[in-house]
Amino acid sequence: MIKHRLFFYFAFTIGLVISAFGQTIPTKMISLDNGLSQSVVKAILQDNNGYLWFGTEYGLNKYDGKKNEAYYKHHGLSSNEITCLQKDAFGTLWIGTSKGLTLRLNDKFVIFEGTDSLLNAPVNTVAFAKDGSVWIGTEGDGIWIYNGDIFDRWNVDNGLSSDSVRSILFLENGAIWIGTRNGINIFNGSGFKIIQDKQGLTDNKVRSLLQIDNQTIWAGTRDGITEFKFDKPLYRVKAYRTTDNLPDNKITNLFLDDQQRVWVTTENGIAVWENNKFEAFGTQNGLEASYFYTTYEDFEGTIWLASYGSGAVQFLGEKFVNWTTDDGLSNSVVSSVFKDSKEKVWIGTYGGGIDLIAKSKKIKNISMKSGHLPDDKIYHIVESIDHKIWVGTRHGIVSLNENLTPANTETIQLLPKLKYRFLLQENDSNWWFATEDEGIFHLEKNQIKQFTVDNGLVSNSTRVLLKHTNGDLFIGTTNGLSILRKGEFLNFTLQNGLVNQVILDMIETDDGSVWFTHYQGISKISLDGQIEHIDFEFRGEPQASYLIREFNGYLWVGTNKGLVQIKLDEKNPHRKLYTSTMGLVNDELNKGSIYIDSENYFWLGTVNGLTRFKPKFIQDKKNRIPLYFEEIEVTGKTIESRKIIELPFKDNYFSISFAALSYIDASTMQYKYRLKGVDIGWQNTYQSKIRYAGLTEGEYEFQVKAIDNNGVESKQISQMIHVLPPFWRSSWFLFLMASIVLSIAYLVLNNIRISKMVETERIRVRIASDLHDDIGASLTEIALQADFIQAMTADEDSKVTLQELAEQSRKVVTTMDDIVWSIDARNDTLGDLTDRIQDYANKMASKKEIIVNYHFTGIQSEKKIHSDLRQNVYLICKEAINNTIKYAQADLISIDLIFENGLYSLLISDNGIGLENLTKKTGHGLKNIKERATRLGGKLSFESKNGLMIQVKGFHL
Amino acid sequence: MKKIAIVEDNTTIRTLIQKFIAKQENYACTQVYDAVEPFLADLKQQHLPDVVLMDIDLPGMNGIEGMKLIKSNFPSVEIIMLTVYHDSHRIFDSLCAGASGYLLKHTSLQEIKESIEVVLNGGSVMSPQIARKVIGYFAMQPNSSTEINKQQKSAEKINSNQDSELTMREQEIVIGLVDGLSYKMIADRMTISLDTVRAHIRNIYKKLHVNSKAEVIAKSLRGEIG
Repeated sequence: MIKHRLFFYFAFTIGLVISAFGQTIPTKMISLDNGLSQSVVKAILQDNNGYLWFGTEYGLNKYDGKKNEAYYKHHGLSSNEITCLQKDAFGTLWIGTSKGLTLRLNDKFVIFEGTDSLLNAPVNTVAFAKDGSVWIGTEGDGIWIYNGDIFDRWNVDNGLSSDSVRSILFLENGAIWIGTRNGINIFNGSGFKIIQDKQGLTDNKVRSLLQIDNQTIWAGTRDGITEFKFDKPLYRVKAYRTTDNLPDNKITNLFLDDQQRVWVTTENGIAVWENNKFEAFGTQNGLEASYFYTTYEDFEGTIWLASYGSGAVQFLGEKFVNWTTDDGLSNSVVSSVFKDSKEKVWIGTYGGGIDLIAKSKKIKNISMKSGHLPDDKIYHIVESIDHKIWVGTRHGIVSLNENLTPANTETIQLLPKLKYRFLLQENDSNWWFATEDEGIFHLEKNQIKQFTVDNGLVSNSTRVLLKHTNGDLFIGTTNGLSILRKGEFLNFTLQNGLVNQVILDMIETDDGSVWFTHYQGISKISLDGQIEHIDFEFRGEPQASYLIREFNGYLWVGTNKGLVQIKLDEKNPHRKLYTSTMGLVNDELNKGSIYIDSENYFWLGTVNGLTRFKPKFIQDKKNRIPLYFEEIEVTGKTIESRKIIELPFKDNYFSISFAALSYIDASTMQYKYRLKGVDIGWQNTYQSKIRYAGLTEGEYEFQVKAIDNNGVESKQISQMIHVLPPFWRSSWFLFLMASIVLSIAYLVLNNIRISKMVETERIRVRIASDLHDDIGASLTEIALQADFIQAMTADEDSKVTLQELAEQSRKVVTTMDDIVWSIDARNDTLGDLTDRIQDYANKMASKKEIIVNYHFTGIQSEKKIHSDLRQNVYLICKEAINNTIKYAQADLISIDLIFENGLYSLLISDNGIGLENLTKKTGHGLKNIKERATRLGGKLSFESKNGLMIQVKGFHL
Repeated sequence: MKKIAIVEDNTTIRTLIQKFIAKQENYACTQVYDAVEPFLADLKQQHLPDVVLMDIDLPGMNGIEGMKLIKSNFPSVEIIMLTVYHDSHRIFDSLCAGASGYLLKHTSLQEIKESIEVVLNGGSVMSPQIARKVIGYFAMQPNSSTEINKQQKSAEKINSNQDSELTMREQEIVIGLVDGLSYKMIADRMTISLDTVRAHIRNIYKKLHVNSKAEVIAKSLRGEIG
């Protein structure tokens, strides 16, 4: 009770730590580091092939997601300073510069001749009218109108209010709005109607005109935005300025995206107009620059900003908002997140207590120090039915009122101070608690009951609880799953169907089955106990899954590689991945650390900060991602692309690389490919380079498709490859036919033979390693026991016997080790063999202080050799080394393996007493060597002069 | 008194090693476990041993995974892997995960004790098979290097951290081992002591571990709260 009072005391005296709380908008910057020609980007455009073009004050750049290719005047541009980029209905790029216009036609730059005056005029804007004419707004030279034949010009002489034209807008009703440095000119078929400050324009310097809908036009000016509404016979005017949450009044551009949001760039930050209000972003949110020229949306729906000084910026903040310790979080590991019924966000951290964000965006921290919590490492935060906040920590549970004073203190007192991983309220007076090591606790009407393995629980290390609608309690532990059904525990472990035993999070879906996450992905258990597993691999690695929710018909799974979205009702569900490259604060999410609030925001806790994410923002764009062949290499050399690639019969080793133009996260791009005639069916891969070797003569077609993160397939592209027959064969058609028939037969037979060999090999490996594991372990036990008794006993005779026993057992284990080594296909190179020989010789020789010299001459250590040959060479060496060490009384051994003129020879020599003086005992060893030499196909000879030399000559490996 | 812990699921082997070590002067061996999980739980309560002998094949979390967790939470603990047979691939994986050495289970009790001593003295041992894998890992060329190899080498150098590269000395030792030289021969050739050779080898293992660590850091957090 004393402790309890102290707790109270602290709560009221120390007060709360309050600090400013920022947030960070994830962005990706393409600038000088990425090869951009200059950092002031004035225009952005994606061409119909999918490439992004960045126009800078010095140079034009073509970007493919990886690198920029820069173009300058000497490539054919009319000027190095790019002012605007547009594309016409045919996909031709119109490049406005400080000195006239340039077109991009058939991968070449062509200067737009036009008129002498236009050749020198700075171009501000290019617009395409419905009738096909091109309207070119210039700085100081009015508008040039080109209808494919003649040029027409509008300027102050025709009544335009200024010759500096910044924006041209064609309306449905035929009216043309022209934004100039001196007001807006509306052309309605006969003359201009001029709108200036007197008519309600916020400023006469108009920079951008945008039609939002049939009734609304916005004009961005040097002093805010003017809105024109045409919902009544006379239009209405309204102004938006910083007072309406714009970041700055100097508007540079207005842009309407695919979802009818208006992007406003200004000289000091940007704003997005959505739901009739502006949300502003600036450097304080982590934007790299403050001055932005324009906004662009690419095929994938990504927003790009053209910045002054920071290149092109990919803006990811429309989907993600992030908080890290830099933004005021008390600890980077967010272990639990929760939004209460008062809209307050509780961020449980692992070490920094709880951070609270209320609407004021102020952060408030409660901790041990502030007296609110028994420990700063938080596992779980929930709100009870009566709106108290219950917090499971590493040192007990605490229950708090809205004003953060302790609640339910008497009940809390009943609970032991354990590590509480998960809290679950069943009804008013009925709670379940999962503890780290002590099983689960049930609290009912202030009575506590503990359940542990003694009561049938599968493990005392419990992690997560779920109350099923049918009344079952699901308990996830580090050693499997328990279901408490009518007072009995049903247990599921690796033995009865789980693929991984560490259960981390669970949810119940509509059909009554329960999905649970673990270190190898996610699994589902149906009410009758059937377990299904979804194989969870990304780039060949299993994804540990830490949290799972169902939302909007999708499963959302937090993994160590990002957040995965899976459509439930598909047979082979496509998985969409959201990664840190796309804006998530970190790829690794924390166990159960998710909360989906009433506005459908996902709050996600990671090992390095908190992310707020709104999935509805991500439009599944059905635009097909462009896919290209990047490079084709034949025997290591890049060749020029052409329709049909002909390969000589001799060296038809080739590789083909391709790339999908995606600007979100290229690593999530999947590919399907096949070489028609070789691959059976489509092969799936994340690789963008495929290699083929040893193709037989014939015509092949390589086909590839990309599947983007949304599961949309790109168009298929293909490359023809002809492998030419050897010249002397092509003339004899019959012979060719015969050889094709033969080679097909051979391939079929070979396939059968190989698959049989593979199967036999597999069985061999399995039997050998089973034998080794079981018998090896028993023999090891014997050896160690012998060692042990030997160390304990004083009787010399017994010592000798025991030592022999130990040695004998170890010898058998070593022999088995050799067998397992020789059939393990991973050890199949010459280098593995020489290493093994060295390992053995060094080990044996070091006991007797014998020096071993090796000479491996002409040996390619990466060359693969067959397991039989490998074993024979190794065992010859082993036998010879054993003989030498035991009987030869040598102090020097030399082992040489030589490759010369296509043949191998093995020489093992020592400086011992030689063959003549050896006893009969070695006879058997030499016989073994002889047998193995014969199997190698080598010629064996012994020479006994100043020691013994064993030679096996002229074998193939 | 040096504290030795054993994680091994074969009761006989575990008990024998434990009893043997316990009988040695200056060694205590009270922490024995049949799986990683209970060992981890115990470590968190601050019973830190000096050296851990750890089996690879264990029920539940395997020894290599377990070692990653232990090394990232308690870097001062030295771990020697126990393995049934000489599988250089798994041995290499465990070195990357932070092991200071490895032992075949059928090694004699006396040799087990000696290996513990080597590790306690700051040394490690390396076989030619492992040396060759180290070379592959750090992309060194033991013999002549072709132009392509050189390019690869320099490319990899740029990518890797200076601290985690092998020094000339270390490279010399590894290459010596691949060439089949004994420690003694290496020591003679480089005019250093045997212990220095072993200390260099330990350093190489540390670099292996550092290079394979990035992923481990995140996992360690997981180990505590996952």
